[in-house]
Amino acid sequence: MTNDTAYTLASKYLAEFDRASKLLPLSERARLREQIREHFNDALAGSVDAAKAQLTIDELGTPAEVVAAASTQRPALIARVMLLRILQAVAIVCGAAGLAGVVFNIIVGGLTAVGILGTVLVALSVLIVWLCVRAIRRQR
Amino acid sequence: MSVSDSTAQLRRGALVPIVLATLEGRPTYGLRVLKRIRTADEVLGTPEGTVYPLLNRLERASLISSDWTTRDDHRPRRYYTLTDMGQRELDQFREEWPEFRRALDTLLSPTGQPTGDR
Repeated sequence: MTNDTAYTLASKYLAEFDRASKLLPLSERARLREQIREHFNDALAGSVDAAKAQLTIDELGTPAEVVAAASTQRPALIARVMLLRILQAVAIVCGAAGLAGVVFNIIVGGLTAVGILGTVLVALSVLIVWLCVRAIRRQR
Repeated sequence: MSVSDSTAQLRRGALVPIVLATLEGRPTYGLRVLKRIRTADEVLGTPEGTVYPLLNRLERASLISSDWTTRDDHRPRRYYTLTDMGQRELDQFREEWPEFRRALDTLLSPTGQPTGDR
């Protein structure tokens, strides 16, 4: 059982970390994941029983505790990531509504207020996406 | 071992110089940092979830540096090294610590008298 159990516990931990760390800045998230993998590689090398595997995981703290510790240390960046997520959601809604307006305008023909509004919304969503991409690149 | 909230907070606060001290003299990798802290004192225990985020914060503050290195014929690992700035921070903490501890002992003493070095 031993190494299979250790591998399963480590994989489960990493999957939980991936879920819990979505709001961390990408660079911080990637670094922590690398450190956790390295921790498991060192601690679970060779033949390891279930108790030792569990101790290794307990030493790290839960994924939520790791993320909480990282978040406490970088509150401004976390707020920025949250803002980016909100902007991305706004861009999706604007884009979808704008496209619907443009399609409606094409079906109806001519230039309607809905068509103009749709075009503006599509342009707005493109602008937001561009700003988000730029911010994410700078964050990396 | 469970500890009081006050001890847990003190433990978190003391973690920076503790981590710096574990790196003094020799670059060390993550698991060994954790093990040194855990074996040093049972009261300190395992600092839940804080060690790797703390290592990253210390690196951003230039108190430590890290790089992938192969040592002793093992596979590559990320080793953490105390920088000159980190060494100065640790030295300063060591200077301040005895006085801080004496003041704390005095304040915590039921009689309000110094309890002496222990």
